[in-house]
Amino acid sequence: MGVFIVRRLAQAVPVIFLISLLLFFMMHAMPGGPLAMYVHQPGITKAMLEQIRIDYGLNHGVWTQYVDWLDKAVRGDFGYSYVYAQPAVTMMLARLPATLELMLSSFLITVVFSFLLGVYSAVRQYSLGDYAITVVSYFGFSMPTFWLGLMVLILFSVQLHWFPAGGISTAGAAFSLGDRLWHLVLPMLVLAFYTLASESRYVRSSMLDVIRQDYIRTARAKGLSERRVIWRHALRNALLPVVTVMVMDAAYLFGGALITETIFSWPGMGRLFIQAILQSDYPVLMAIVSFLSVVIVLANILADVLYGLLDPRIQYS
Amino acid sequence: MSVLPQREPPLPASPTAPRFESWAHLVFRRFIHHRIAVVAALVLLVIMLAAILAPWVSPYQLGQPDLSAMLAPPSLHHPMGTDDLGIDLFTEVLFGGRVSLTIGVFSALVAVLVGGAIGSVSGYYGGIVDALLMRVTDVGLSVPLLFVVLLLSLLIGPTPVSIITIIGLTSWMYPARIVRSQFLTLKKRDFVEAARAVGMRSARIIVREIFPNAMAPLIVNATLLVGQAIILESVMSFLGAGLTPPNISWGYLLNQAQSFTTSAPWLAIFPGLMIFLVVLAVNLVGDGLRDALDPTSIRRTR
Repeated sequence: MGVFIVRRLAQAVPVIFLISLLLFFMMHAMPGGPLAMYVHQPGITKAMLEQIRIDYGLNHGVWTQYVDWLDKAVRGDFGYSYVYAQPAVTMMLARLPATLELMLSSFLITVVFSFLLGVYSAVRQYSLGDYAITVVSYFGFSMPTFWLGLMVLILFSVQLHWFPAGGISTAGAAFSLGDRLWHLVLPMLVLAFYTLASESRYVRSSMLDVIRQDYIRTARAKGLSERRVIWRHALRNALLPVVTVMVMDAAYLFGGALITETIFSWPGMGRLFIQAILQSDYPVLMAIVSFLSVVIVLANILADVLYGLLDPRIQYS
Repeated sequence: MSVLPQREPPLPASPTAPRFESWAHLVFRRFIHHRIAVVAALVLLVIMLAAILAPWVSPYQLGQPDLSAMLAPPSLHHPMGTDDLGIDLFTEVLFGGRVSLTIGVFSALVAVLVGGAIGSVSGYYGGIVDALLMRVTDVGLSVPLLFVVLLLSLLIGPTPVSIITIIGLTSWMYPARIVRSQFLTLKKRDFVEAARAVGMRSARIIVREIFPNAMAPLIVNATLLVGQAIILESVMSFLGAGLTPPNISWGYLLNQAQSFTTSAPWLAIFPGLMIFLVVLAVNLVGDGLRDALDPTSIRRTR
């Protein structure tokens, strides 16, 4: 197992390297270069521009810049934000907790409810409830997250005033858990909806595969309660393919968070990214994309490893 | 020229079907039985026609303000209401459909072509070529898609062509994997051996012999990609990194609607409803096609 993990990690290195190369050269392909925003500032002189170029190391060759960048990136130094003159990584990390709060709570909701709904759907296949869940999940993965977010915002905050229209807490108020949760509800549910729709389907089909197997009939024949047969015997094997999907989806929740954070003014990493896009703040963009790429690669490995741990039939040699 | 049969019958004809029935006809007949998919296809057809015929069917001229009805709610005069300049939203949605649908269809086309080419070469040649191309595919799947797409749009500048290229070139990985796995099984079949035996060149075998037989799952995936591309484009426009006027897409309309969530919620409702309807219809059609193209996957119905 240990050997397998190490080998998977080693395999990931060239992928991460290729990604970093790709992203780095993408940035240098841009019109005007990273200095574009300074050129248009009033009162800036050629000499000042030159100084900025040297300060940012932009006077070297592209390859030198890349090696320079990579060397620093490995140590977590992505340079300074062009706009805020703060280390890009510091800015990103400052926003990470808010994003994680949103993502983890959404993930939790997704996992719990996709199991409940998926198992129900499978056990009561073709029942009215199963059809209802099927229809709703079809809606779920056809509905653009940002539109769902807008609709929820209009209905529950603007019209009904049940929930705040955005932000992570009431501005200026002292910290209170209730207030935080109050702000969390809408963005969390919106973010969870899409993954819930697709994952409850995975649980359903995985359960359906398992339920028809002989050992389930044996368990029933032994006289075990239906509850025990379903939740202990069947679910355990149905879990396998689902766990992989869920771990992968957790990484992709960052993309959903990008949209949700923008709509609900959630002070997370996604919103920082959009700000940086609008301000052409390349170090920040680079830091975030690099970070997420690593997260996705690691999630891939984690999914593989978990699969191996959960399924004793799989031998890694 | 080969005197051998050009391709194997892709689907074994069912015992009740007459032997001479063409494949396309068979697929069509199966699709017709999928009632929801047929309805979805019709809805899609109506929306596409309305978008294509927008200049003729729209009640107003695009961009012409109605100063007597600014931020007017939906009414008989303005079925979807108007915006802050008094511009008819229904007209904008019709024209927006042209942009959104065009981007969706062509992005999917680019993705399928690139993915098809990479998957074919990878699956057919195997070995080091396969290993290299699959590593590149891994890279494609390991980048945070939405973030990279936004970044590229910022770098290249959003035009219809650049958006199609960006979405197409970031969505080819699944088509590539699908085609590759098809090639891996198909290349061992007798008809490929036969084609080689009569001296056909590899490129010709890939394009003329194997690829047509690998099409079925690719068509299904292409359908789903259209929906994904429409959503991706609208997200880009919504976040302010996508198309801008004169290329008004449904996503752009939603971006503009954000400032009026209190005063004119209909501006946010209708363009999004269109995206939702189209994507839902595309997904349902895709499901219908999957069942029609692959008899083994037909779901049990009551």
